[in-house]
Amino acid sequence: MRSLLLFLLLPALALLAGCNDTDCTMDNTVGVRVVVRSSATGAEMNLPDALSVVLQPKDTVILNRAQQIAAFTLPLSFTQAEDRWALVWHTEAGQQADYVTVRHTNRPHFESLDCGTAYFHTLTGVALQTQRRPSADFPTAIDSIVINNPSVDYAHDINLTLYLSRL
Amino acid sequence: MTSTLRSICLACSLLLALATASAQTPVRRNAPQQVQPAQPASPDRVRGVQYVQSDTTARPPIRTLQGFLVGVDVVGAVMYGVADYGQLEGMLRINLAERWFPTLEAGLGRSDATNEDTGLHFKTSAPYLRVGADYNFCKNLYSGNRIYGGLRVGYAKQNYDLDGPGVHDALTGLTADYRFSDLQASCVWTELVFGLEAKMWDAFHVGWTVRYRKRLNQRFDEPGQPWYVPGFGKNSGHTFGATFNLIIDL
Repeated sequence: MRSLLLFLLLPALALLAGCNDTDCTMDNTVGVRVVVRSSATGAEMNLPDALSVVLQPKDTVILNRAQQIAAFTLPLSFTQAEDRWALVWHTEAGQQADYVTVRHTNRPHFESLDCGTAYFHTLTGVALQTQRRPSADFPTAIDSIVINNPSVDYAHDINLTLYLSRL
Repeated sequence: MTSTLRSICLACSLLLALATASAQTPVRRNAPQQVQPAQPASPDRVRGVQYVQSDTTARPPIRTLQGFLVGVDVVGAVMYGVADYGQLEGMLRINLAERWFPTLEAGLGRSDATNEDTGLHFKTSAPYLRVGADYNFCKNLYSGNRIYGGLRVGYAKQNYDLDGPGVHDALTGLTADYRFSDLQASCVWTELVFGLEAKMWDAFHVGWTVRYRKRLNQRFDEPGQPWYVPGFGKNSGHTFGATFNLIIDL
């Protein structure tokens, strides 16, 4: 009788063990990771002035007065193929905007029924729309912007490098 | 006094000798009783009652091709009917000398699941196949009971549908559809199997197996891997599973 019980109960235990847990990604934010470097030396540097990034044309602030950081993350829209950013520098003299256009593709991502949905992106191009030199009022200017890794997903790799020139 | 004691001792010695002799030699009726010295038992003499099992003498020899086994998985069938996923599975085994059992398992896996929290819905129905072999560790090959250890390689190719509520894009204010149909995927995996099988009546056996499954390779369409792979279970790098089999020994 004991053998029979063991024979019947063991597979039931195995069935319980067979129930696996949800395995969702903990850090499930998707965004363009931007690192800041000096155009003169190529070395990583902190933002010398406060920087805001505003999505055009809806004026949605996606980065608010960031300062003294060397990297930041910006979200991309997944219902359009191109995002236009206004990079607004804040100094005592006021504000000065540089415009950047980022072209990308959007692809839906599915991991599990338990984990919700996400959209990944592939960067296909980035362009600096305005070019200005550093001045006494706005001593920081964008020299160039390049794509390091076009894949925007959960990996959080550096996607763009923002080269800054200083007065 | 001394002669009386000597007589008692002599009488006791005679009684002891008589008792020993009667225990070691059969008493022949109508024969004059006499004291005989004890004899050691000869090798061909057996004391007590000896039982000889009739089946040891009548056992047939175990052949290389001992026969075939066919069976079905009850656990998968029940899950097929009541759970988010399940499978109808049958198996065919070749019995090689009651030791090795090359095995073919085939089935139809099905899933129709919706997560209440995320609102995502997954649906698939596809066949799968496993091939491998088991080894019977049981010492008594005539008992009809078996203790298995084995390996499998599985393969499934499936089409699946995935849909959910539209995804709101906070940057543009628009909502993107989340509905995909006829996505394709294939998966190859391996399994470590341990199982027990017991003979119930004649050729009818019941048994269960527990399995550790490890995915070796998979291909799938965007937006992502299938939530359930027929024959493998809920999709992840590795998983555990179990079967409860009804088996007929042919």
